Amino acid sequence: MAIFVLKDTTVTVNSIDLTTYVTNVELVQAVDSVESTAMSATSTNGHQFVGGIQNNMVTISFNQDFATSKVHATLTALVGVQTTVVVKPTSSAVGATNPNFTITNCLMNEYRPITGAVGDLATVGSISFAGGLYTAPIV
Amino acid sequence: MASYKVTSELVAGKSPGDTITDEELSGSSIEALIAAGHIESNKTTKKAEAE
Repeated sequence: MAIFVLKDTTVTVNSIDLTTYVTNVELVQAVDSVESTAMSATSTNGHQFVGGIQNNMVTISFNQDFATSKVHATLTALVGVQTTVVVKPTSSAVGATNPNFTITNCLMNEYRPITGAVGDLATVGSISFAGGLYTAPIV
Repeated sequence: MASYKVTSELVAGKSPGDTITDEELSGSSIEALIAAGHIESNKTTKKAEAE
């Protein structure tokens, strides 16, 4: 796969395919920086860090839908509950060029069911799933 | 292994009426899925068991 434009990125939250409601998604693979700087008369390189535990984040924006078993019902039931989020660049089959990025045991601690001004499309405020374990196929 | 009946059209890889197992839902909150109306418990009646 060459460079491409995001058009059909798939997003699954808690085994629910919310792709058709997603307007923006950002996945951050991160680890904590743990300082390991030690006393040294000869050290001139400044602070030293080692990689700590994972500190991942998935941030997603949705168009809102309050109908039965749609966006609102799915997300409001997940506040404060550990879950799994899967993001795939395109709707094509999973593979080396289309990895399914998976964050397991992540937590959404805040949900904003209504965001917007008069005349705006009803949307869900940008929500974040924090923590958890990041996995993706090795490319 | 517990199984559930799919009741919404948004469950990934499933259609309403399908059965899904807790193994397939590994990593997901089953309580949240039930609360949101995506799945419901597959109840086995005593009559069905007798048959």
